[in-house]
Amino acid sequence: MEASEEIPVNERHCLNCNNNIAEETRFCNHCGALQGDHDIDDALLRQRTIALLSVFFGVHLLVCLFANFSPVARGLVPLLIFDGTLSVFTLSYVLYLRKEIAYLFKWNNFSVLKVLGYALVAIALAIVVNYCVKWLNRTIFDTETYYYYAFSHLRYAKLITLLFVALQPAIFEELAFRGVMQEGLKKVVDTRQAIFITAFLFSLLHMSIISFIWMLPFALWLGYVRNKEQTIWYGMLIHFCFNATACFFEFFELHLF
Amino acid sequence: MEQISSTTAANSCKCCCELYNEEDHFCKSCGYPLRASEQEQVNFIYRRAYEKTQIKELDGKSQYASIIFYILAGLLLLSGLVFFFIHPEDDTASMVLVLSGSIAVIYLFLGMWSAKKPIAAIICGLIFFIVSFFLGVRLGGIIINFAIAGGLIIALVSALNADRKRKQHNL
Repeated sequence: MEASEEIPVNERHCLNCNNNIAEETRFCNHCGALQGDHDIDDALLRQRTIALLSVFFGVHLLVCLFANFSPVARGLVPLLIFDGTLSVFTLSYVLYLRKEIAYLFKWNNFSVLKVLGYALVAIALAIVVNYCVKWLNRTIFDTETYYYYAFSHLRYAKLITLLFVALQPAIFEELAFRGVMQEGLKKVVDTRQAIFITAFLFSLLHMSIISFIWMLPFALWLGYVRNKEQTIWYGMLIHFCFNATACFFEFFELHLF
Repeated sequence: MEQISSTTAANSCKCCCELYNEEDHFCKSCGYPLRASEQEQVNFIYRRAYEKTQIKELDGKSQYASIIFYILAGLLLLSGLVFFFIHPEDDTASMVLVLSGSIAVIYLFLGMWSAKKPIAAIICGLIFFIVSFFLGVRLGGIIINFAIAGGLIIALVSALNADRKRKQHNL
């Protein structure tokens, strides 16, 4: 076989002397020049991703801080405005990154057993967490908080509570964190760290130090499931079951059945 | 056949110990001038050693974050315990102890994490520090809090610079 017929596999040209060099070469073996083109591409991609994610998280953080600490952010209407704003903002990011996160919307390895298993574990976990949180609130913090009271004056209050406490967060928080954030972070750090950082930021955005303690392991589990199953649907299901159980826990406690 | 023989006749780079072929002028891994004069080769090794020293210094600075997180954890736990034992009759004493203990655990975790993966841990820790500041968890006055945030930012910049240099020189 003649040399001219050989197709160079995994080769590229040196940026300085244009000689053929191996793909993984960091310094040209002919002229010694640093081969930075791939690194520059990577660095630009990382910079772009970091900027995108910073804006994404920054907006979420600002809205959550404002919703929690501003005196004008009280009542149902501001709550709907904040939730709506974050949902639209998340959707715009999902649309922008649709090609990169499209695979998360497939459910190739669908399994009824897995669905039931994840749902049952989420419900069991929610019961334990809710019981502990209620106990802590009563004995240590001397407070009682109910999501239901935000909607109790409305018609179909229970249904609306379920919609805004269970369904809406399950969809949009999963899209925002396990979708946009975790996928973006995978370009900047390794997968394990991406799961950790996403879980940390997700727990932090709930603006409660005590909740952080149980929310971090829960978010780590969601991140792990999303990474293992390569779909966002199991995460949404777990999140919905968890939050819905908290709602039903309240309905029973308030004797609404 | 020629390629196989040149690969088997490979030598080891004096600078990074990577294998090189006889026809190479520079090491593919570190850029060491294989056919340059002895003086040039010595200069290259000195430059690389200098970069390594700089990276070590930057790594040292980035580890300030770990120390800051441990100090924060200790101070928060201590303040919670002091408040609990000085005001045992206060209704909020147990609440303060639980809260400060919880935050101390988070800072402890961040301290351990930043020793292994500084960039990710410092970013999370800085955001956590800012959010907990808004949630009312403040150690001392505004100047002390600014100093802590400043220390974390310096540690983050150092960690980023060390990472950049490490990649640039393949160290």
